[in-house]
Amino acid sequence: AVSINSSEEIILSADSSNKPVTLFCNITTANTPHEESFWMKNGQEIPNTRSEQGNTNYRIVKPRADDSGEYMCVYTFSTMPNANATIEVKAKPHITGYKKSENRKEGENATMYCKSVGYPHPTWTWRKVDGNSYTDIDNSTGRFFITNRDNYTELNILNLDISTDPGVYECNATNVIGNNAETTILRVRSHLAPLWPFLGVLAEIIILVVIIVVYEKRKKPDDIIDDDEPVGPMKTNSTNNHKDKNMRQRNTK
Amino acid sequence: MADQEPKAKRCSSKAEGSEGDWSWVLVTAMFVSTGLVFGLMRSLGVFFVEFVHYFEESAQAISWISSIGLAAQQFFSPLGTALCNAYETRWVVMTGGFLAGLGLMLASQATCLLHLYLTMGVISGVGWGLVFTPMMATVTANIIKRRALALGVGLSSVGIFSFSFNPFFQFLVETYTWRGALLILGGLSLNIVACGAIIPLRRRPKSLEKVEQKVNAKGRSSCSTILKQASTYLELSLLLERPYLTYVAAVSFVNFGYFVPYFHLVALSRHAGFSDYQAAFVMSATGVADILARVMSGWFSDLGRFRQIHLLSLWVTLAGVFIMFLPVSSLSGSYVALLVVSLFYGFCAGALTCVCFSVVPMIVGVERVMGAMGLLQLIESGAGLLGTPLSGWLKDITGNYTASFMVTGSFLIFGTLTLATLPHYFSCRDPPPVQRHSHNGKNVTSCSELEQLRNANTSNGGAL
Repeated sequence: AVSINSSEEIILSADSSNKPVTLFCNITTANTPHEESFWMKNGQEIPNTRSEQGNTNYRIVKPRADDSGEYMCVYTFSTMPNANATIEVKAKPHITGYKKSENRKEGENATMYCKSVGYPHPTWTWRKVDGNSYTDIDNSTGRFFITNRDNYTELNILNLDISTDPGVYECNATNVIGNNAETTILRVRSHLAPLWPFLGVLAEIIILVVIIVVYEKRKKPDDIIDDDEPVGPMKTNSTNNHKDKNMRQRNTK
Repeated sequence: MADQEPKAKRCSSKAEGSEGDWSWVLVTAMFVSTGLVFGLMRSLGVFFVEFVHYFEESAQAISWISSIGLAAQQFFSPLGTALCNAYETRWVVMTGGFLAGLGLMLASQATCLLHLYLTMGVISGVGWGLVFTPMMATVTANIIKRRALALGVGLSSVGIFSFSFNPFFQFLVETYTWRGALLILGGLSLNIVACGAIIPLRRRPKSLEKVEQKVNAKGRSSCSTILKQASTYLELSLLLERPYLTYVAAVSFVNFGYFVPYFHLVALSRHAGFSDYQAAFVMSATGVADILARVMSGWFSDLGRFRQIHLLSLWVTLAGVFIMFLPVSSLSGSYVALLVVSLFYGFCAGALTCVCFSVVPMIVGVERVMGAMGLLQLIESGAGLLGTPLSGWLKDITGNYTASFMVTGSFLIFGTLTLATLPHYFSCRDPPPVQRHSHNGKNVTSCSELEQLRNANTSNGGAL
């Protein structure tokens, strides 16, 4: 018979996140001495934890939500199967991945997702948010599909409807410790949306061009600026300045 | 002299009377069209984020779109000005506006990256090339009294439009997806067509008519006459004239270093240890100083206290000096020092833009401004394209920005020295306008050149 003393279940919380957490195991009675001890997290061996000690510790220096999980200290024997003890490190789910906004055209499909870290794995719910009120998703039209996995959830909306579908959608992750939620804005654009401003700009340009053409037709022909009409022969000697002075004086009358 | 008076009176009454109301309409047209060309080009970053996501291509592949567009605009500038010499400016600008809008509207239907290269890059780029330089040359040629101010106001639209387009494009993309937004932008670009409609029709200059008479006389157009005609429209003869070549070389040197701070200032600030927000603020402040400087420098140079070529040399030299001070000020560790030097640099860089183009008619004569601007834009932009990679290479070799900024600042100083080799540089008055010979061998001067001479003599000669 093998008996292992291990630490109790640990709950990580936001306010104690900077205090290190230590898991310990002590193998108290065994018929034969053990060979090695090591730690596992969520079914996978944690590297660099193998030692020959019976009293083994695993230290989490700055515990975060993704440090939570099912930890096991494992003792190996040459003559009998491994013995282990399980320590659960639990935390509130923390949503690490989600889209801030999803923009799609009407008739297309929209996909919104949320990823989380934290143990135990949360249950997911999706809601539509309208200001302060929450409504459950109405799937009477059969276009909404929710796929849930351990730390991942996906909301698919097929064949977007521009009148009912746009809005704020919230994914909520809940486990025994607590819950967390994040929101995604869904915008549905109509196919013809950019056409209206475009036609408006075209109309403005046509109006401008018509105004310019009309204005020109009404102007008298000899008002057209004609810089290249030669003034006539001009001598380039020192009497130039006098000529210019005289001309200017005459023109200012 | 008796036969000159009635024509001179008619010239001046036409110029002084109608230049007032009609000229501000033309400046507004330049303001809007320049903003829709360069302001739009500089704000496409919002779309590029969407393209990377939608087409799943690298950022470098997407950035080729704007490179192709800019290269097309610069490369086709001489074509645009040649077409304006051959046909009417109005139709060229209206066609350019139509192409620019068409390119964006077609881009909204793109299904692969190549479509975007061809539509937003080539078609819109050619359209922009047919719009910007002809519009700028029209303003330069037709507005005489307040030429620099008109150019300053027109060019300031680049900064103003790109400043306001960034949040506006973000809104369009969010509300209508990038396809809808591009469609609407295509429509907005068609406003350039309205701007082009404002440009009045003009009679063709006699020197070009001379070439066409030769062609018609021969009865058939052979290869050599077509080439001769094309080279006249492109004003390729300018490339053989020393003043113009000197000026183009000077502007190319300036362009070599001019854009470097815009590309590397943020990196320089971060290199010196300032935060992202501080670096971004330095860029924004520099941009605001640039916009203000364009207008103020235009107003100041029109006052006529100094020759525009001297003002240009002043702004170019100061801009070069401040570029060289930039790494020094950032190394000093003081944020205020970096900000102050950047503001001064921004001011000088903006101030030199409008004077730089406003000086062209004094070098080549008003009549050849169109072709001169086209060639100038093509050659100077080649230098601009080379400058930034060179400074980046210098930074990679030396490990900091000091060497690259020093070298680019010295290119600007070198540009000033090149300007000093222009004929009549050291005189206090503007030289008389370039004389043209008409087909009957007499020296002729057009209305606008007469006005120019008059302005030059009043401003430099004092009160009469």
